[in-house]
Amino acid sequence: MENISVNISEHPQNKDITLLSVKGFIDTTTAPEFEKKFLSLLGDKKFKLVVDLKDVNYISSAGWGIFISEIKRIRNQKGDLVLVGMNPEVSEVFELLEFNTILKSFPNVETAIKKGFEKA
Amino acid sequence: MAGLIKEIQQEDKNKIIRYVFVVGPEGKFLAHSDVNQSFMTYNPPPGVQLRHDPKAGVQVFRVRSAKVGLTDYAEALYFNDKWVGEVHAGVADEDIQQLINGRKTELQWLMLAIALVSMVGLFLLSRIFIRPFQKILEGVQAMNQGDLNAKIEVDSQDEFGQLAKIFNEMTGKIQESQVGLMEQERIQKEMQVAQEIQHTLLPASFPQIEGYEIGATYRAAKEVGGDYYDFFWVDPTTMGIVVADVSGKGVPGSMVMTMIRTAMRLEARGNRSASDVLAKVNQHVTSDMKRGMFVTMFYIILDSRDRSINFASAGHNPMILYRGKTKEVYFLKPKGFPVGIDLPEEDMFVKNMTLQKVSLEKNDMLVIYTDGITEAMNPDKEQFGEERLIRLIKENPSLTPAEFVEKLNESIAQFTRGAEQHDDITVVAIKEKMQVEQVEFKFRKRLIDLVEKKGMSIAAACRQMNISPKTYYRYKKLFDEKGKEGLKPVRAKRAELKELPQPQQQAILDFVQEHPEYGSRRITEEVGKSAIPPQKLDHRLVLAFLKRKGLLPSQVKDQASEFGSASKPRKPRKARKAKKLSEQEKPQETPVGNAVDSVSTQSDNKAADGVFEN
Repeated sequence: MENISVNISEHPQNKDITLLSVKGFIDTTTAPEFEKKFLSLLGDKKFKLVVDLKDVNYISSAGWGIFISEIKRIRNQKGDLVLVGMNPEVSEVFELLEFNTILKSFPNVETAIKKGFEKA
Repeated sequence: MAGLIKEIQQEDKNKIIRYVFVVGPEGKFLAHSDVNQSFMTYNPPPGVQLRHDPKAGVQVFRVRSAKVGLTDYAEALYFNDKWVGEVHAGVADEDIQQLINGRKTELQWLMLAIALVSMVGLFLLSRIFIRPFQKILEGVQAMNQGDLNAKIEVDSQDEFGQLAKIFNEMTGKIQESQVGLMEQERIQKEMQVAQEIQHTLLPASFPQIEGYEIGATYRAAKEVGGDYYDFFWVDPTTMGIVVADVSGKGVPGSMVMTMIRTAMRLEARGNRSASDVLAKVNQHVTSDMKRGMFVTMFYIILDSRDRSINFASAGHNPMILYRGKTKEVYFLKPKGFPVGIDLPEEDMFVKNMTLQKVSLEKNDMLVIYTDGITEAMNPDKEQFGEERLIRLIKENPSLTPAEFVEKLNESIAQFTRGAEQHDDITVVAIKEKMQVEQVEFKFRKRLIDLVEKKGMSIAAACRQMNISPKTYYRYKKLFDEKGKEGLKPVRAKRAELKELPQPQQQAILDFVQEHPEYGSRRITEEVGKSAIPPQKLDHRLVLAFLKRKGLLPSQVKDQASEFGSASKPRKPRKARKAKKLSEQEKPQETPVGNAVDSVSTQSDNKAADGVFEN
């Protein structure tokens, strides 16, 4: 996939937190690629996820669907999915869809790690 | 002499010389091939008359007397210029003919032999060259006629073999791509059918509802899209209009759309609360929807009696309200999650969804749209955007909704310059053509007329007009006191729009960015002062707006531990701000549960009756 790359890494200090660094855009064509990786993480029982969207310039509704689709399961497993570094345009749609009332978002990974899983 | 003759005869291998003799000067044969004639006297046969001339050379005569055709070749013989005799040789025609024939036959045989040899040669040649050619030709022809299974069987190692191999590979590849193409064609055809089905599900004509003009446009992207709009009657005087955008495209999106459409039509009937309808639709479809798919919807209910609208949004783009009187533009977007999401908590959808109600005035226009409009892209990858949409609305206040959507279509086509669009485009525009008092007056008059002029019983008239007899008697009293004039309502109560117009919201956002330390009162004052011309802003509206945007100083402090926009304290985003100005006032928002009670459970016209002061 040339339009998306997903880099998965464990956070060095918090081994139960997994960082997904996404580059490119998430739309109908690239969403399946992202979804595959995302679901395989859940399959590996990784339920504390930080998705870094700093290098993502566009997320279509298909992409948003993925973030929101498994949130119930993630929370049931005492995990959470938090978003990091959304650019204004991405954030705008995020708010339009009112996903900001479901998902937490943070300006950077450090804050996300510190604050993102407080209640989880 | 005789020896010479013999020699001549020997030389004559073909035996065509019948005779040869030499005649001496005395006219006697000196030598003759026929020995018996030797020394006999030579009598030249008729036709043979040798001229005695040393320069004559060989003279040829036809021998006329002979039974067979005979030619005599003779020559006079001279010795020291003295005639010493003559020599004759006779040749029969038939012998020559025979000789010629013999030669001919020989030649024919030879030619036959050559022909045979050539044919054998050609045959061998064809084995080597022509045959492979022919096979290749056959293969090409077969392929030309559409037989892509055609294979050329040439197993030689030469150029023909290579050519055949390449040809076979090529047909193989063509066949593969052909199969792919056919599959694609099939899918395309199915998609087309899906698209046609989807089109038939869209309203064929605009509904006629008193006092409103409605225009709509839908343009599918290349694929079967997930946009949809619909009109339906909630009750005889109330209409529901929905615009929706399914997150997935293609057949799955289209199927979800169909599902939503059915659920909407089912739930909309008789339910006068837009938010309640959406909540019920959500309940219906969520379990049946593929994970990760969702639908954003905007649902608006037009009440033709009290000229008010109530509406709810499921994560959809805001509705634009253009006020004909003030020429202001408002973005209306009640809170609500998209439909179809498996939310972490059961009642989250209902809890989050709000209902708004606004009364319309004459020449107000509402525009509901999908993001296919604002995200329509031109070849330079620029988006049409909300600003162009707003400008178009403001610049064309006198157009009917049908004319407006047409204009918008043209404007988008002009902007995109033929670039292929990835999203469906849907717009519904609604224009208020009446003043509520006018409508009410007409209604009351019709009711009174039914009884007074048409002689209908009060009970029947009330039934027909869907009001209580008590209401009838109220109108009747007014009519009896002041006649027709008495039926004119003074001024209807209105559901006021508690919202700042779009430019003021923008000004506030800009101001907050510059002065994040100011409180709401200061902001109200400053923004009002800097407006052209200066205006006095309603502090309550400003406060509510700031609160909704999470921009109050107190909110900013707490934000670190909050959800959502917490990450960007007091930093309104510049990009395409307009869309974000759309959320609606808190004070107007009614949780769905309440909305059901206050709106949908009331008898419609009784509710409407209470609106008027008289």
